[in-house]
Amino acid sequence: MGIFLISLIGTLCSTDITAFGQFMIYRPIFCTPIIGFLAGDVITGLCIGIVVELFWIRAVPMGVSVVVDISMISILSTFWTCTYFPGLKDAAILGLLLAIPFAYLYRFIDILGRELNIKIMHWVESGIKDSKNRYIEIGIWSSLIFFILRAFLFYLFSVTVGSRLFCDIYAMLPSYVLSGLAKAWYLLPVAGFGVAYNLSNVRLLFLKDFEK
Amino acid sequence: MIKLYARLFIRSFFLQSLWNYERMQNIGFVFILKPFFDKIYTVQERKKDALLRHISYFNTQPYMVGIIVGEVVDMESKILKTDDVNKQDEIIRDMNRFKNNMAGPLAAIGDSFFYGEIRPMLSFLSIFIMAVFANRRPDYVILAPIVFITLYNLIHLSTRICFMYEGFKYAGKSMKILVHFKSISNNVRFCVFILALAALSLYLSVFSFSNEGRLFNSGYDDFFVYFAVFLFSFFSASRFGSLVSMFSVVTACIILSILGIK
Repeated sequence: MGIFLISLIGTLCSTDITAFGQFMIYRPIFCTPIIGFLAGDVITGLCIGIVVELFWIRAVPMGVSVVVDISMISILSTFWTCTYFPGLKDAAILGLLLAIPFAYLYRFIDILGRELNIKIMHWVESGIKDSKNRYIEIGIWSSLIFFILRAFLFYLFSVTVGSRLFCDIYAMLPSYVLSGLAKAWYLLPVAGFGVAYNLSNVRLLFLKDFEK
Repeated sequence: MIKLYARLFIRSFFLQSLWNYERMQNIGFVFILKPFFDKIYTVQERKKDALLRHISYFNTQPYMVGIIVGEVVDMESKILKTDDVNKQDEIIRDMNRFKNNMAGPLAAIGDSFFYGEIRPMLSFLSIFIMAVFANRRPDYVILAPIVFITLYNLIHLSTRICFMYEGFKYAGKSMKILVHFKSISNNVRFCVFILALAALSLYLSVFSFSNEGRLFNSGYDDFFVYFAVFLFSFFSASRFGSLVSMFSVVTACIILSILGIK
């Protein structure tokens, strides 16, 4: 599967988080089977998607909070695993762990992008004051294009650099670490259920009336 | 008019395109209303005033914006119809108060309902479907993401359409629709819990307690290991976050392997 294709799909998913639509195509449970299908391993893709979905099931972009791009975590890890080490459970977990720093780095870039939006917003406002109403459309589209460009470029960077890093690290890891990662493949979904339904959620569901 | 409302609806998908820290969705909101102002105002100066009225801080849940758009369209039409300046000022004050007072609660209701209940419920349903088909009919696992995206967007898009329709049709009374949310929300919350339990049990029986999923070959009871991991993440996630739980589990697995426990 080409780097450009994966970057394009990743960009579409990242755009769905806040910039356009919110159709939930960025959710790992939806985007990883697509990557898995294109790379020839739907089940591994879906399993990675389930782990990421469960661990970040309540990660929501609310108010000023900028959540980590979980589509990036799931897409990168699925791509690396299915392309370079198909069917290897330890590689899937390594890919997952390696994709997390990339997603956090992108979050930082995303925050900078939103700072840029403040400047665009003031530019649009000055346009409206001067009766140049076309500035509204230009502002919206330019912000969207900036968003798409930065996501696409970051995907190109992370797929290229990350692939190299992923293969090198996997080759260097001793067998006992790989064995531990393979065990984690079975345990992480169970831990994910615990995270998805953690103590505070259960308290909210059953004990809220009792605690009053 | 339907064509105009359809344009407003399509534009509502761009609400957060120019999201910024200073005034959040303000330009997105103005972008939605612009075709309406283009239609009703022929005098540029009045159109400018109308656009500038909505350039202030605005933030709500994107799916719920239809109600506010409907109400604002109704109030803006009233401003256009009256020539009395005092009356216009009064409507503008009411409109700003409505926007400021309703955007926050609508955001809270929408976020908790869609992101906190509907989406987790459909995620657990998808995991359940995946676990059902994984061993028996592997070709059918693709149904899991299809069910997730189809059901979610059926609910989400119909809500968006319904809210915008209610906003336009029952302007001034459209908030009544929110009364239904509480009863639906309570039922959905319980469904999420049941589906989570069902998905977990099926997932464990298919993947974890199968021969392939046996973790230890030397007498360690897998059931207790899975149970301990679940309990650990159940108690730690709310306090330390999901990342700490994830890295703790992976680290524990590596330590067990280093200790030679197989």
